[in-house]
Amino acid sequence: MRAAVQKPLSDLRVKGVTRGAGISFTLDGCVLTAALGESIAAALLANGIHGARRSHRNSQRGYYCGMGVCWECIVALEGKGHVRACMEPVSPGMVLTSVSATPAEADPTSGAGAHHD
Amino acid sequence: MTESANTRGHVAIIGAGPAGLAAAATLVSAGVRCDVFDDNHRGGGQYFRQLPASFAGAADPVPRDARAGPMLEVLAHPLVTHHPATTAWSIPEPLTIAHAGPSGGGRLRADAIILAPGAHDRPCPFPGWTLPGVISAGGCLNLLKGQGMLPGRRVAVVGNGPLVLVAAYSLITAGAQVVVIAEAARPSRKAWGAIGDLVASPSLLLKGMRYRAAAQLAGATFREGAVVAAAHGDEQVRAVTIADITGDGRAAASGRMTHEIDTLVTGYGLMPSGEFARMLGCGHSYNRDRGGWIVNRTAEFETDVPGVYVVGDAAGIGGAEIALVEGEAVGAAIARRLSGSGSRAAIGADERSVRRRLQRQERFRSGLEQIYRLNAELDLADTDTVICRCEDLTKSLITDAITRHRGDLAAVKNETRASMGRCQGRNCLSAIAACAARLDSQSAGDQAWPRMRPPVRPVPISALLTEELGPPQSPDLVEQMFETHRD
Repeated sequence: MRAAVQKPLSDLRVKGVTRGAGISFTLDGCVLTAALGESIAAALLANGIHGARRSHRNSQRGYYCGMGVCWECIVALEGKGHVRACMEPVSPGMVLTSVSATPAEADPTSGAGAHHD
Repeated sequence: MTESANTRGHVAIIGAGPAGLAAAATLVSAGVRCDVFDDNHRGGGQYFRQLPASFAGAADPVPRDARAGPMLEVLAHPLVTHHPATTAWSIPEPLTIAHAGPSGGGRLRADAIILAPGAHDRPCPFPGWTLPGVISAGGCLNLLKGQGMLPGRRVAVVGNGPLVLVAAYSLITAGAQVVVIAEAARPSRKAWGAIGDLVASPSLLLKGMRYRAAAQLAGATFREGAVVAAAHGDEQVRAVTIADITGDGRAAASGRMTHEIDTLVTGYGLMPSGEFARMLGCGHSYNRDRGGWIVNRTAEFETDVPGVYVVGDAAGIGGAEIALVEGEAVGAAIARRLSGSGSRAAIGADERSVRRRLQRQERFRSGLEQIYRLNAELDLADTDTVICRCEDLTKSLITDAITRHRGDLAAVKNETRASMGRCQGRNCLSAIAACAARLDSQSAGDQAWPRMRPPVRPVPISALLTEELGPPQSPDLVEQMFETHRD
């Protein structure tokens, strides 16, 4: 399932902030760049990606609360499972996959119970 | 961890925002050891949110409080152990915190627990609010302050309360274009009536006026008595329609204007992160101005559970100034108790001065509450609007369940899974309670919430696997099993 990508807007990074070194990571196989220390959510936004998760009824979702409360920004991180993009810093070579709507997605933090179609 | 003979007690603090930091600073100055648990990688909470450690923000235009640096230094104090990226997920035994972090999980017992987990955005569902590009006011500020990143270029800010102007002003200074600001209340009309309370904090009052002037100078259309009618877009927000507010909290047919935007910031208030207090079964009272159900506290901020204190926004929305003073006050009160003087001992001059400062800040808060108070609970969702984001449940599905279960929210939860998703009800329960109240013509204060069970926040199983388990809880059950098998 592809994340919602749109043409990146002119750079969203606030001027006057000196960032960490440039690193790269992948989302759904695409190589993206980020600054060391940046959260995954910020790095995705900087690359024009506003949503990397689809809801149970297959609606596009993305960054919302920015503080780890809403879990809308989750991405699948290879080796760790579903993480909140707003809480997790990017590391070099990180492999991410966007979260699809299908209940078959293995997710250690999901509650038990039936999923809706 | 060995107890140092020189320390005067040990306190566990949940939260490293203004209240938690202020409490820690006061406690360590009295020789009390502190363990500070913090969900985030870096201390500061929301208000003192820092850029990542690898960034430098000397020329950062986003407004920050200069007190952040000195307050954050307490986390490096020898008497303080800071546990970053660590979730405190339960209080399984008296005065014991169960925690899970990068190096696994464990338990910590202390002489007192201070809950200072702060607040989170109050959910206010409206058509299109789940579209990517629609972010909460907290989410906007966290991106600006915590990542040095704009959420977008053409932004609309809608909401109710002082955070609306804070978000708009921060966006403008960071270089975004704020197209329109829609405040649901009419603070300008009410400001003179509340001026007696508002001048209790001249600096905060002036700050608010400055933010408003700056936003208008920057070309933003400023509307009062206006709310979001809908966010429009396919996979991403592209436009927002703003309308006048009706007497019963809805989007009117009048005053409708549609603006093209790439980001919509929604800030219809904050609510306490009260999950711990609910889990412990503490008594609560309903106060809509303060964010809804708020925990009952003594004059020294203690809950019904002995040794458990709550300060800051988690005890009722009050902002950073109140959080700082309450943190200082609870630190002083606990230090006094631990020193053996007992709670009946005379309160020192320092504590009295802290109390006076608190009273002044509470007067200012009262003024803010007056000017931002709405006549009716907001009712912006339509039948197809998603109310439970995690489980993707619409208003019509939820109101149908509420009707059949006669307003029993626990039964609604069990049938629909509403509030059983990852957010654990933080983004939906207050909206669901409001739906139930409307259906039954009651105020939201009559809606009892379902019980909160541990974990207070989701934790991965891997973090718990290192935890030592105690002896089996039900030896009687084991006996019964053996007896059954022998039959």
